[in-house]
Amino acid sequence: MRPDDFARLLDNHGPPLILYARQWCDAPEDVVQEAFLKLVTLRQAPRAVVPFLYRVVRNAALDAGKAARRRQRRESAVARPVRWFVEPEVEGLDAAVAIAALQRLPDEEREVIVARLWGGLSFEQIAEVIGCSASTAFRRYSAGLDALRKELGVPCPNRSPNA
Amino acid sequence: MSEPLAERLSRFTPDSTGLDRDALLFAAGRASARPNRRWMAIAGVLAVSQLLTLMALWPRTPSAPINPPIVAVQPFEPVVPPTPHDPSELWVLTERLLASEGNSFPPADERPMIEPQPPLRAFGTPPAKYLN
Repeated sequence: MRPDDFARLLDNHGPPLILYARQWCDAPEDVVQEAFLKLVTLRQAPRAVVPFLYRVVRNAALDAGKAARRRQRRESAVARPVRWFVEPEVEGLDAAVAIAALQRLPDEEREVIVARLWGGLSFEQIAEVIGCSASTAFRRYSAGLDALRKELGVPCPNRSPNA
Repeated sequence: MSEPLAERLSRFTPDSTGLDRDALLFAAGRASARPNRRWMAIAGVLAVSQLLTLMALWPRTPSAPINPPIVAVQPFEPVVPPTPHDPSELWVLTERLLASEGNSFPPADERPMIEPQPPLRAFGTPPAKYLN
């Protein structure tokens, strides 16, 4: 992998990967950095680089989350302001509200939504990362979106407003 | 992603302020460099050979001196001065006794041991004609 390709990969997928890892751990940047470093130390590049990164980030974030939860039980850490998104508001949708709605989703649904919306992964790739079938990934994505719609008060586009 | 809510949500840009891009690129460059272990192996072999050479050439401290101590040996038996015979020895006394009585040993025979005659021959003297 050439340095330019690596930098482009970092620019395009670094932020979504951080958001993806943030679901499980408090230090997603470290996890993402480790994943990229793991990528460059591979002797042979993986068949699909982006799913590989997501898989590595997921595993590392899960491990880091377990350790962090143990640490949080012992420490009364001062909560630093965690910012999931750069924009405070998009098209009338408040970021804090969106984050709160996302946080209330079940883990498996939130994971698929983040990987799909911000990671740009296909359902086949998500299925490969998570270890389920593509139809299961799609089902979780749909269920998650429905839940978000209810949380945010957004009407379903397939349903007529009068229905 | 034709869902309006998904469209709106996806417009949010994930925050990545905690990710230091330059530091990560630098770390990635370092991590991607394959460690060259050949010089380590060569240095190790040279060090071992040096050690072996040093051990082989190290002057060993001898447990015993290489040259045995030279012990001065007297080349000859010390000359013991003849001690005068003890006058009380039996031999001296006997000799004195014989000399006083005139019975000294007879003088040695000074006659020749072989008669001045022609030697004996087994078959006598050969005839003169043979001799001439």
